[in-house]
Amino acid sequence: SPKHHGSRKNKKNCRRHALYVDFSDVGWNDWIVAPPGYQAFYCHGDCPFPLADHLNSTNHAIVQTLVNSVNSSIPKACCVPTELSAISMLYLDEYDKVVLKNYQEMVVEGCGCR
Amino acid sequence: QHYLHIRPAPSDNLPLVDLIEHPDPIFDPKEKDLNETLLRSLMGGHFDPNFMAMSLPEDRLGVDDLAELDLLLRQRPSGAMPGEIKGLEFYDGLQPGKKHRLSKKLRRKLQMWLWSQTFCPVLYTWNDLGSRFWPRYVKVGSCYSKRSCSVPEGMVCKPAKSVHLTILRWRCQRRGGQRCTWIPIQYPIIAECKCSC
Repeated sequence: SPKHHGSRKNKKNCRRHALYVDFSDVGWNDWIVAPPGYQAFYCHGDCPFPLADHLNSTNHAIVQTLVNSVNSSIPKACCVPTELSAISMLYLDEYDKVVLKNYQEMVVEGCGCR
Repeated sequence: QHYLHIRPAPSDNLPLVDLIEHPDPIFDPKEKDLNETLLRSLMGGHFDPNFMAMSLPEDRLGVDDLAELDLLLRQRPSGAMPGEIKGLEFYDGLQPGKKHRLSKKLRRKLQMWLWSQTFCPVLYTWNDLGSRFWPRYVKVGSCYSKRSCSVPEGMVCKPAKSVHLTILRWRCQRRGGQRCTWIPIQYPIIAECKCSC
């Protein structure tokens, strides 16, 4: 039924998902002293036509999604981070000194269809 | 495998965001690891009592006090008057076509007013870095940005220069069992604020 179809679709819509990155898993523990890992999150999901308000889209994304609905050779909008935040990391720099610095845009705060 | 060298780029943006710490106390230094004499010698010449403390200093300023301190500082800027203000001449434009230079006293008053409006002092507060840093309290700078520093309004005081403190960090590594040591690290702090866009 269309109703069932709709609810299943919603579940797969663009949203933020948990993603804990352990630096030792990616071989970065040799240059990152702290933290051992962090919650980075990621964005994943569909950007279906018509784009709903909560999908945090742009006018351009609305237009592109509309074009996709009539011409499938043009892709749909993409589910991407729309807001990111920083973390600080204690790392070994190129002079072999351990330095504490901010790393911008390391954590996804919000996702959207863009 | 060149892709292994791809790394995120650090930023010089300050103040620092709080470091995410592993919650397990097994990564904390124990009583025996906190021998002050030993740690002081590990720090060598880097121990700066003006910026570092083992316990929270008495004269600590809370965040609420900052606004008050700021007002105090704004009324009386310290140091030498900036050249841009010192060199200013003022004229009255009351009669069109005729320029009258203002009196010395009024000129001084206007200069002092401009200086107090545009002055961007570095405000210092003590930060608790937790037990995995030594000394655990460091004095960090901040720029007061709740008020505009320009005439007309719009610009705010922003960090313009930083310096770094060398302190110790308790580092634990898994190499056939857990091994922890104190290592020197560089901790950046704001050293100068400027009125910026």
